[in-house]
This record gives sequence, C-alpha cells and structure tokens, in this order.
Amino acid sequence: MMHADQGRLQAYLDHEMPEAHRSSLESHLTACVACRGELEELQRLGAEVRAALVGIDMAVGTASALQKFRERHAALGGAPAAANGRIRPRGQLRWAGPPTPARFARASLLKAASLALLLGGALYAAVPGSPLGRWIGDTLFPSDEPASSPEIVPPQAPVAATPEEAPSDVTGIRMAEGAVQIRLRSLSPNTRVRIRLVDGDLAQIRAAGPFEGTTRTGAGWIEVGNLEGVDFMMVDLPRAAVRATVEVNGQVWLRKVGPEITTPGPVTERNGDEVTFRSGS
Amino acid sequence: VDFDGLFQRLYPSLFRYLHRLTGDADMAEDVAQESFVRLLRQPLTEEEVRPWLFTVAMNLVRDGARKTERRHRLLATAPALVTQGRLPDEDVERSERIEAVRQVLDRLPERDRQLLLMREEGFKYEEIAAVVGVAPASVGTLIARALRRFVDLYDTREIR
Repeated sequence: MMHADQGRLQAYLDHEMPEAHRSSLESHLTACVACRGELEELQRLGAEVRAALVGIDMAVGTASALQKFRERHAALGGAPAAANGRIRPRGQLRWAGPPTPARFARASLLKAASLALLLGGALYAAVPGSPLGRWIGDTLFPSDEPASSPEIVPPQAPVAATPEEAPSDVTGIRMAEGAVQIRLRSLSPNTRVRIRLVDGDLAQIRAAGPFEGTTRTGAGWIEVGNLEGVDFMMVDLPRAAVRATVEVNGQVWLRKVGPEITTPGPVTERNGDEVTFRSGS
Repeated sequence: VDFDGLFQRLYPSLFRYLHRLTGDADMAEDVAQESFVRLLRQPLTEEEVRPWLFTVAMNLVRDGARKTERRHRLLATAPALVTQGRLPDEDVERSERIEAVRQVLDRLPERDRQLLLMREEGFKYEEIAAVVGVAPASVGTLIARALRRFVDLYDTREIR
C-alpha cells in the first residue's frame, strides 16, 4: 500500500472512513512509520485546535434563550408562515406557540369536558346509589372489578451519612484526541466538587444521591446541567489528558495542559491527585 | 416534532458555533434566535434541520458582517473611548488567550473557519461539504490543511 494522504488520515481520525478502508489503513499504519507519524501529527493539531476553541467558549443560557424565542415569536404574530415548498414536507416541524383565540377556545372546551368528567366521577363516588351516579359510574367505569389495592411503596433507602460513600448516578465521556472538557451547570451554592486524576481515557462524573441532571455530550465534552440540590460531586479526569478543563457554572475551575494543572476555582482542599472545591454562597 | 426539545438540543451547539465564529455573544444570540424563527417557516425533516440552521445562521452572519463593515467605515473618524480597569492575572491571561484565538480565527480564510468549527460541532463530512460548498471527498484534506494553518498562526502569534 502506498503512503496514506492527509485527507484519508484525517477521515480515519474523524470516523468518516468505511470499515473496509479502515482495516486496510490500520494494517498499513502498523508497518509504516511515516504514516503513523503523520497520523499522530494530525491528532496533535486536532487536540490543539480543540483546546484553543474550548478556551474561548462561554456559558450558554438555553432556558432563557428559549423564553426569549417564545416572546420574539409571539411578537411576530405567532403562527408559522406558509411553507415555501423548497424542501419536501415530510415530518415537518411544528411549535404550538403562544395561545391564539382559536387555540384558547379549543383548550377551554377540552378543559370543560375534563371538568365534567371529573365532576361525574366525584358524584359517582359520593352518591354511589343514585341513578345519575350509577349511570355516570357505569359510563365512566364500566368494569365491576373491585378497585385494586393501593400500591405499596417500599421505604426509601436511607441517605448515606457522608455523600462520598454513596456516589450514585455516574456519567462519563472518553477523551477525544487527548482533550476532554467537563461542564457542570446550575450547581447550587456550597456544593462540593472533588476532582481527581485517574488512569485510562474515561472522564466520569458522579453525583451523591439521586439527581435529575440533564446530560449533553459531544466528541470529548460532556455537560451536566440541572444540578440544583446536589451537594457533592466527584469528577474523574484522565491523567493522560493533554488538555482538560472542568467548568462550573460558566467558570473554569480546573485546567490541565499536559502535566500542568491550574485551579482557578474556589479550592478548599488538596490531597495528592485530588482537589476539592466548594461553590460560592 | 417537539420544537422546544429541538430548540434545547440544537441551540447550545448553534450558539457556540456562532460565538466562536464571530466572537460576539450578542450577535451569536441574535443570529441563533433569528435562525430558529426562520426554521418555523420550513417544512423540514428532523435530519435536515441542523445543516439548514447552520447554513442560514452563516448567511445571517455574512449579511451582518457587511452591515457592520459599513458602520465601521462611518465610525472610523470618531475617537475610540477606552476604559480599562485592572484585571486579576488569571483574567488577564485568559483574555490574552481568547484574543489570540480570536485573531487566529479572524485571519483564517472563511472556508477554513467553517470547516474547523463545523467539525467541532460533530457534523458529518457530507453535511460540512454541503454547507461549505466543496466535494465530500475533499473535506478530510481541507480539514487537515485548516488545522495546520490554525496551529501555525497560533504558534507564530504566541512567539511574537
């Protein structure tokens, strides 16, 4: 096999190469020092560019942007304009938008019908012997089966005394070209975050106790939001990361460039490969 | 299709792309918002939405850039008012780094910028090719060259 050109190597790195070509390139790479060198160089360039770009990013306020969008859309008259026919109309997007008089009337009718059903149910429950109650009951609840017994809810597991002992929800991301970025959003004040270096190429995030965090990921980055109420988090950062950042509520708390680590965040404790932070009150 | 869900899924990526592209958070937000408003008029399938949004956003940025250029020409004679407070070292270092990256992005040809930024947002080569207007088979080579140009410009600037 001849030397692989840059384009093929880049496509290989970006997972844009068909499987058959990948295997053949991989066998070539095991034997060809020049191509391996070129591949590593492209990997290095990719990691540098990614780290540079990540460094200029700022926090994104999606919820407020959505609110703004709704207001803007309402100000523009609400309803979407007619399709221009340029793109085929399959599974087209719709957004209900703010209430219009017609939509309001439809919603009111639905609400009135629901209310009537609820009242009927209540009357049936309150006066089961009455003919009206019986009719409503037969109509709404045709089965004569006895009501099922209430579901037995098991007692909640006791909360661990120290949150470190019970890191529950775990999510993670692999490094991409030696770079990894972790963003934690909506962390409450006084939340502790412990970041530690670990072996392997997997960055992991654990929250103590149950939480309903939202997670978004991309190549080499992960964003966990909706962290209100979590009081302790652990972040495992690959020791091998060439570039890594941990960003909390839009601020960089820890940055790793090669072996060098800087911690602009609110550090409360350092212990070997571990650093603990506490979000401001 | 749940438009709110779609907005929540695509807005962060579009905003990040636009902010990286323009260096202007307000403009990034305005353009992203306008792109979503225009999206409502389009009967697109879900898989068509993302490339469409980014293409429209890019066109809006180009239009905005033309208007800004005209405005800058008009303002060129007005003296600039600069106030600068003292920043902590960490912030100074960060703003210098941001400025360096911004300058590199500004000096790159538009096509290189688009290629690198779209790649970072996880677009497929085929989608990048459609937006940038090149053959899909050439995207790998163009990205490799753009990466090299970016790093060369960045390194040169840092040494100076």
